[in-house]
Amino acid sequence: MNQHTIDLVNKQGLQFFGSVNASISHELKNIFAIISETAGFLNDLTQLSKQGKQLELSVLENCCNSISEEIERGFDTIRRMNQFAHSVDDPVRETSILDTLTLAVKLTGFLSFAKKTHLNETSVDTTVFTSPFLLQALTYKTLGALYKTLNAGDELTLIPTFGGPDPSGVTLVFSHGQPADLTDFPDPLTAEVADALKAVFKKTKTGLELFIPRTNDYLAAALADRQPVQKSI
Amino acid sequence: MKIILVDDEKKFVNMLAKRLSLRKLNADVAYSGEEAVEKAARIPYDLAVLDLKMPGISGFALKRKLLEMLPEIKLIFVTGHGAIDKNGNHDHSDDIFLAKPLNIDTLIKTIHQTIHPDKQ
Repeated sequence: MNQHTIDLVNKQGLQFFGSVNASISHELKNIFAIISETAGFLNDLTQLSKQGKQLELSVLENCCNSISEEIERGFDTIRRMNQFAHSVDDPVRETSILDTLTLAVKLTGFLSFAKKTHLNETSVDTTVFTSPFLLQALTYKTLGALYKTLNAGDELTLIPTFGGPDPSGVTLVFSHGQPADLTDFPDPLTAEVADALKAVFKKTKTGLELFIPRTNDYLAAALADRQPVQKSI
Repeated sequence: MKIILVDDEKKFVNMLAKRLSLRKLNADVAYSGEEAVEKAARIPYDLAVLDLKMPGISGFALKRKLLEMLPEIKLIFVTGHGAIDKNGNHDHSDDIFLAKPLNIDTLIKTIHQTIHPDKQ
């Protein structure tokens, strides 16, 4: 791996990991807070019952259902966290576009300024030979930047276009149906990641497009001599 | 005492309101900063318990709006973040922060201390 790529992965990678981990931990704390309050409420009811107040079964049932829902929400969050952790297993590999986008939408959904994103999954999935981690970072940062330009209640559509006019890559279309102020996008660090991936941004009237090449010889060569990391479980 | 709880986690804030109610503290709830501002325009709250990170108006921005509307209102922030980032802003140096998950007894004690600081 050449020095520039090492610096990029270290600098961007740590920052990105920190940012995603912070949003995941925030999500988990909210889940635990709900479970904690519901358990506390059940304890309150138990104490009242000991004093002779009759318990309503429907209230108990609602509390149990709520706890079950939050546990499922927690498991889903941890599944995404695990999927994200595995994005660093291989420096470069064939990487599913739909898997990457699904995870990016889910992870950015934990951000307080997130907007609802509709991912068009009707297309047959395809893969690109690239760094899965940096591609994850790029799509995450792009979604995050777009959320900041949207108003509360606005929604975003994300359409991966395979086999389009340029068969040498995949075009991701981020659209929200109205002009967005993307003057400061991409920021220098995001531009650096895009450059390493040979990805190209194109601003449009209703959002932006991101072109990802199907192969990236430069990145593959840069990462070829890197020792494989021990895979996480 | 008029209290409003503001958090976009609806289940959390509803459950908290129920638990406070069992302890003779009735509280309104709002699921966003915008909804809290609307309610504060109609009801002169004495105290607001605010989530720090919310879509739309954040906890700190809501603090400024509420203080403009109700200069005497007291505020308690609740956060799911491990470390509280005040961004070096000393406007928040006197604010009260509680971490999620909350301890109901700690919250009630903090509410009483905030409303009646002279009784400590």
